[in-house]
Amino acid sequence: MGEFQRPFLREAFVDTIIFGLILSTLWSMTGPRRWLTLGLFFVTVGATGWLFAAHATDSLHLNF
Amino acid sequence: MTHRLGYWVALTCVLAMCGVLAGGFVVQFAWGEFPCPLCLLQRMAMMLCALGPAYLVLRARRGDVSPVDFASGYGMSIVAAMLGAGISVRQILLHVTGSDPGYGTPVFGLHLYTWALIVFATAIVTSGVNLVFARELAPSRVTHRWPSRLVLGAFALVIAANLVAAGMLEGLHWKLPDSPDRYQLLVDLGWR
Repeated sequence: MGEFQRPFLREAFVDTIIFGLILSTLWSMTGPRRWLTLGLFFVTVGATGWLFAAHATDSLHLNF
Repeated sequence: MTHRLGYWVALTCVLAMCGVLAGGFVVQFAWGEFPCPLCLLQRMAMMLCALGPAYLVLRARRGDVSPVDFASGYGMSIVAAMLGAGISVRQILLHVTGSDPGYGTPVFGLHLYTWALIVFATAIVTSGVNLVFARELAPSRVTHRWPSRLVLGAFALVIAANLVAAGMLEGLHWKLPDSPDRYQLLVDLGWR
């Protein structure tokens, strides 16, 4: 078992969560509630933008 | 006739985005290249972009698509494409200076993030043209359902596959490294 890093809340599992949100938004489209779809869509866009901002303002530790 | 054309245009948009995302998987698994955090963000934006036309296809399966729904669908695509274009430009600017070879292997002479910018620009133009001809292109109820079932099923599969791949890259850690070089979950579980 590798070393388990302490939670870094700013980006905690956000990638995986966002893909889950996208899947949920697609699922919501099969129902009649338009506002549920739009709400989930904008929450997902906000989460993606937030993660991008976190990466864009973080110091880079690149290995290339 | 044009109402059916609007349906097929929306379906083609979803299919095209699935093709681009599948190409990313080919680079990741067949060529053995790991997507960086910005690459994953661009994939997310592409999926969000495809949600707009997918919304229209699903609405057309239930009945006529209203102008409000039509505008919502392509509006979602434009918002997501703007976000994606911003992410692509950021990654292009990271590699634009000096002798930087860029991230990953170029495809047809361009890096994937440059192709992603072209995809987002195309999505914005396509959405704009659709909105200009909204009256003519808003799909009405469709009777042939299997193509939409097939394409939307493939789209859902692509999203789910990316969810699993992102989980594999992150492993039992809370964030993706800036430049991943392994599937962290396999290392964390002691399988590699």
